[in-house]
Amino acid sequence: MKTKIKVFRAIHDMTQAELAEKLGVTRQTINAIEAGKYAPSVELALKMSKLFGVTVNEIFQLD
Amino acid sequence: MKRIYLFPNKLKLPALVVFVISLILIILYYSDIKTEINTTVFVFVSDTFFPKSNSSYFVFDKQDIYNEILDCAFFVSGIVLAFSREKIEDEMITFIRLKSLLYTTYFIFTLLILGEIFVYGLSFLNIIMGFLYSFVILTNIFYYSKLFIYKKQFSHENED
Repeated sequence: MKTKIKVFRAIHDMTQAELAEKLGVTRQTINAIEAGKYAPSVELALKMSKLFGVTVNEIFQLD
Repeated sequence: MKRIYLFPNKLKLPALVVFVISLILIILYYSDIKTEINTTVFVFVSDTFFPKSNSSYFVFDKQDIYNEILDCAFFVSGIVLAFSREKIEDEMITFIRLKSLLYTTYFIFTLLILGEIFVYGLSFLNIIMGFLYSFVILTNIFYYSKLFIYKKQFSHENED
């Protein structure tokens, strides 16, 4: 699964730690998702899309 | 969303202390360094192997409960230690915890099946008890080592 979290973080000028805090997860989890080592739950993906103001499809794509 | 029940994070440290102490005392117990706490307790079943007629059911009986206290302390603290919340509990940590439980189940039941095939007689009962202790110990070892690796691995990668 490909992810554009890093891009959206950059657009919103947000660090991994800030994003993690807003989503209520650890920074390591954000890092793991960005590295493609962990697929987030639907709930977390929806929280991210709400936070970035985009659809889930824009953040995550299948390979 | 429904959450799975976990113990509060503040129980982690007391559980660790009790777990370590009870583990040491259990090792000493099986090395024949033990004490006795003889008291009258209500027992569901109390039997001896020889002669079988000495068995008693649902009675008050004088028993040494030292081992029972140790086991209860060990199992309760071990379970609380493995299943208490982290300071920031998220789905990744839950996933690691469940994965550790899965690996421990595979490992212990593989050994149990081998024990079933290769161990006979009363020794098998000792082995089952050993598996119960191992289950709690291994769940904790797998979980905390995986958590440590996860935290290390993703602490510096893709750093901002």
